[in-house]
Amino acid sequence: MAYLLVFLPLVASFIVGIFGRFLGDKISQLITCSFVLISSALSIYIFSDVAINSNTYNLKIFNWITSGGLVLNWSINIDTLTSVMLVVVTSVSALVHVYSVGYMSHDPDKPRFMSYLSLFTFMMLMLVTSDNFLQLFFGWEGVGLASYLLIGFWYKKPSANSAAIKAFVVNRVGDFGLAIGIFLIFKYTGSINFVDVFKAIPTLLDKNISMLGIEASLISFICIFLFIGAMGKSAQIFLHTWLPDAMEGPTPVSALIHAATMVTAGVFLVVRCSPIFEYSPFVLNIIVLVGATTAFFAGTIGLVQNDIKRVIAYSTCSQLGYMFFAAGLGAYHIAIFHLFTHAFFKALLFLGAGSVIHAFNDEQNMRHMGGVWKKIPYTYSLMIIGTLALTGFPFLSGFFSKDAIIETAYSSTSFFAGYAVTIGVLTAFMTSLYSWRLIFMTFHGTFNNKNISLSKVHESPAVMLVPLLFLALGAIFAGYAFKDYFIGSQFIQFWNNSIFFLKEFVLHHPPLWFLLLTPILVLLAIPLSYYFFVKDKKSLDSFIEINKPLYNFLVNKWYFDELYDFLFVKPAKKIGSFFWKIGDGTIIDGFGPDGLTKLIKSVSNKAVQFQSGFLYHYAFVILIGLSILLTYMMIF
Amino acid sequence: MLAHSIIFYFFSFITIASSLMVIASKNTVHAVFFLILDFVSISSLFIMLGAEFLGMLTLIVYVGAVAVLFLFVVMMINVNFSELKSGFLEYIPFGLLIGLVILLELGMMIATWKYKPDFVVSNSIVNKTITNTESLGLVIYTDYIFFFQLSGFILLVAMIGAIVLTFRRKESLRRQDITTQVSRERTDSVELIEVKQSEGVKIND
Amino acid sequence: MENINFIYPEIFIAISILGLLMVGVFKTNSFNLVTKLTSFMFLITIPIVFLNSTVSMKLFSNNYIVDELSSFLKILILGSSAFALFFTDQYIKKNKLDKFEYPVLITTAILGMFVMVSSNNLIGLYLGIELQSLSLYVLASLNRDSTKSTEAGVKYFVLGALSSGLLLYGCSLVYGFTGSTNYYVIAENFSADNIALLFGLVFILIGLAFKISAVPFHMWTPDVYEGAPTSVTAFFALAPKVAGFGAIIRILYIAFGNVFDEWQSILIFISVASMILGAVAAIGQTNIKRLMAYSSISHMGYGLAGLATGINEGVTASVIYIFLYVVMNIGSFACILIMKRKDIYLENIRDLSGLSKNHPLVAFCLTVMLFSLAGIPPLAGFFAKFYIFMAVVKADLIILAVIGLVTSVISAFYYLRIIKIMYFDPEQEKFDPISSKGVKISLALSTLLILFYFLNPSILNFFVNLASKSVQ
Repeated sequence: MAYLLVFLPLVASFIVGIFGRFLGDKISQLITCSFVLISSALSIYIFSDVAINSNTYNLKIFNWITSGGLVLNWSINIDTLTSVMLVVVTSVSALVHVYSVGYMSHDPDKPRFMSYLSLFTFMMLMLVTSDNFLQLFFGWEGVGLASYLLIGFWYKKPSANSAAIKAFVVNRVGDFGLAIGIFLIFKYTGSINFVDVFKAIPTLLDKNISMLGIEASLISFICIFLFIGAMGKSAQIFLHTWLPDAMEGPTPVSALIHAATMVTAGVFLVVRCSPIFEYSPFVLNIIVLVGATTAFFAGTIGLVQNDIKRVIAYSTCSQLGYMFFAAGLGAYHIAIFHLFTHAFFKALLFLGAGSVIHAFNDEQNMRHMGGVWKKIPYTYSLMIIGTLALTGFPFLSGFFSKDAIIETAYSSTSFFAGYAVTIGVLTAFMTSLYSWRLIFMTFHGTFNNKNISLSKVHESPAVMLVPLLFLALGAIFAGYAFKDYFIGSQFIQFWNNSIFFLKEFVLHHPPLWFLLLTPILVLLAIPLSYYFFVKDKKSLDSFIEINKPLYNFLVNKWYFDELYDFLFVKPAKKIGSFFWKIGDGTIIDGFGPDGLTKLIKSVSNKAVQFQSGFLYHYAFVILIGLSILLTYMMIF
Repeated sequence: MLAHSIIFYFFSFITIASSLMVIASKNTVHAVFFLILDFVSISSLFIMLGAEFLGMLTLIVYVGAVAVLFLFVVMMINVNFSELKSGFLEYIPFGLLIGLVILLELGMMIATWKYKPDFVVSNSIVNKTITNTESLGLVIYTDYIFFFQLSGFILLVAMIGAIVLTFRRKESLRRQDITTQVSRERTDSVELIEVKQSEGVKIND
Repeated sequence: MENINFIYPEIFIAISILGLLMVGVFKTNSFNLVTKLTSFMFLITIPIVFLNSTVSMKLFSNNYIVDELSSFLKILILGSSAFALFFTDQYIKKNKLDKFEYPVLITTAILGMFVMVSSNNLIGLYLGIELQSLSLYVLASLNRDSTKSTEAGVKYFVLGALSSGLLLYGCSLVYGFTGSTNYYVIAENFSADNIALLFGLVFILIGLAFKISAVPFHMWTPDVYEGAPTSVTAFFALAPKVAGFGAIIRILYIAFGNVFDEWQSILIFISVASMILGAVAAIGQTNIKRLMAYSSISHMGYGLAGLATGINEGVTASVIYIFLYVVMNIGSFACILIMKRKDIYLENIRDLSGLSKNHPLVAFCLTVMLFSLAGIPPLAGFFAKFYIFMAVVKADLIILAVIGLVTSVISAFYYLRIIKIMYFDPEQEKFDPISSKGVKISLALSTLLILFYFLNPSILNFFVNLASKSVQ
């Protein structure tokens, strides 16, 4: 059954990818949707089997590599952590598949799109079901590839193309780190199967190695490199720049890849490797620092963006920051819980945004929207649910997971705990602020669009709304329904050793005022943003006028793109063109390839001339060869 | 023992000399004659070794069949060898050099010849108590059955090859086919038709 | 006699040859029937060989060995020959080669190859080689109305006779100084001090090197490949190489195993020369069959490099190499057989120009084959070379590895040139639609295997490991 679950998307992708043109749009969509739906149903069954009944499975597909001491299998490894990921991946993917049928209805390349989506799903499943680092890496690269293909799906748009390339290149930095981490692991433990590695790690605690002139413990090096990989995939600060640009892809892609699944792979990696990370408090601190900073930084940028999808993208970035600092504080299960709930409401928000964009005939700028909440009531209400869940409105799913993170930070003794808790609360407030800003700018106020008249704004078809409805159910109930299992009283038996805690995890209950602080701030943000973005825009403008430098700083995304352009892109181009024109063109080509090719060509001509076609020449060559070999034999 | 040696060297000399003449003589018919001489002296050497069966076989097969066939072929097709040998001279120096090198090396090999200690014993491989034919027959269908059968297959392939490369079925030629000839009946070729008056018959051809 | 079941495959083939001949003689225009029967016979023989594939058995007083290595190679020989017969059916009919002797000669050649890979005796080796070669000579000149084909046949025959002569001379030297033609006895009595024995070794090696067209005994290859009908060329490029390798492995590692130091340098010399010449001389070629000839020369060089290591890994790598070489050549020749316009088969590389626009799928398959031949990861050809280089490095033959790397870079040039012609040169008239099922299936199968070999290399490696252990 697990085989079916993993391979159905691949089969669907293959069938549709190769025969899509013959099958036609309808059948292609039917095949991919139904296959992925089946696999999501299976995943729920497996989740109940694995998580509730505490079973684990390790199914070998076949032996992959046997080379010296390296024995690797393609396999499907299912424990609680994997089963949670399976549910997230397949269910969101299934809903996105269905949604895409409606969203992409005007696109000529439907089979290709569906095929990519299914391929992505398969790669993600490979990633989460792996029992060794190499298969994980395979899935890791596979999702990267699928993401590249999907971001650049509208390959005729130059911005989509460059966004796709940017995503790919920035991710390579992370992948490089991951690869080095894996090499280190293999070098020192002699294996890259999770079980063996995790067993070997405690024996290597005292080992120090030196790299790039820095000497530190081996575990720290491994962790830091793995974390760099995770940072790239999960768009943490410094390696986050690709995520907002990735919004050039079709919206269902953003929902699936850049909100619910692929970007959370980094969190998954850290949690999966908790048996390694737990031994390196130093790196855990760094994770807290990076995660918290990302949460804050992305939140601030989200406040001023005007592209509806970019706002949500920065929000994703910020929520990923939450997950990371939760993991860094040792609360891996809470991180995964937030990942789980976040998948629902963020996918809901993205798909809702897609529905809005659809309604406005592909308009993404929020300034050109507004005042349509009566025209598209379903989308509007579903978006409200998503927003409430995201902001942590009491008793919706985000409330349980996010507050658990903040409480963990409060009760933690980690070095950066104070920093994390401040940021956590502050960011929660900002989250609420920009989320409501999005709602108000999009649905309320005056109708600002010049290209389309108000009467033409239309509600999306049912095929798009039904997936939204399911996600909304998830956004409302996922937190409440699963909190006992994921983070509540039963968490130890629920996770069933798939997460490793060095010390027993205890959550001190913070005082009541702190428990109330975040919800109150979140609620306060609603009227505040209503005042600023609907009621009295003048005061907002004047506020911006006063703080112009800060505003510009935020609008330009902390100048990260410019900084990178200055630091890396331009010098790289310059160095490249230097090497190309002078180094390569004159020096290397002159003596190397060009000279060599000339030499080889002349030798080749000689060799061909030798092939005269005369029999006695040939016989002669044989005899010459004979005499050479005989002489050699006699002399040596 | 002396007579034995004299006869041995006599035939050996003829063998080498005549094989040289095979490739040296200008007239092709002469070359084939030298070839026959070569075979004859070889078979004599076999007989001297006590392998009279092999000697006779060489005589019968090579002289009686192969060489005579050669002779017919050479006489029937008129090949101008002097034309083929044009340009032969320019390769002589280099060819000589290579030949010399190989010859020297083979000479070295003979110079450093080391006999097995029991070499002389193994000289008498021929069992004197049974006849040559019998001793061959004893091993050829037992120990060497595999190689023997394999050789048979090689000959079969040679035959197939010769047929497939030379045999042409001429379409214009009418062959006698006995089965069709015998199985032919009157009804196949003669048809009796009742001729109606003043209408004639229409003959289908 | 109780062990006779171990040579059932050979007996079965031998009897089938006679049966096929009967069918061919007594039934007119029986090419189709005989071909079908032959293919059927191959299919039956494979499981028969497979049944014995896990035992090591010595037959005919140690003169014939059936073990894992021979069984593996025999299956490979049968399989590749089946393909060579299977995908050339249309070509054969089009060029009026449809004589029933064609499949029969292929079968006799296979019988010879079986003996080559299994024989543990110099006489058996020689007879096997002759049986195989005679069939091949005839096949090469099968198109007797074409001067090129007959010329190819004559050249192959004369040079083959010369090499057989050298081989026989070597055999007689070895026999004279060790007192036996059996490999085991030879190995016992072989002493490296005796220069005559070493000369015998050289002569035998040359005779065998000729059969797998290693430099400098390769001269016949380009001419014969070009001259012979393409269907026959495809066969030449596949099974005989496997058999030649089998014979070389067996004689070097069993009969001459004790004097590894002596023949290692010869093998290195031949291997280096083959790699270099194969890479360099192919560059100027315009005929794709000639190009494949040089390509096969250079591949034989890599295969020999693995054998020159003298270690188990090297033999394993070589056997893997030869296996993947066969698969790649099946694919490449299937593509060559697609090159047909207005019912005329084409052989010029230029005829491929713009193929990617007219036949994208064929172009893709050929690209996969060429990339793999050039050894570009992650295709199977890369792994083949990778294993060879690993073994070579392990045996401390760094220079050999470096030369191998350099030549593989050079040879990538001419493979890439074909790809460039296919993708970037102006398109020409379309090829005739592919009507032969055999071509389609062979191409698809080989492309899939080459593409996806990397997913699970261990299946093949497992069998080859078993096979190569049997000569250690």
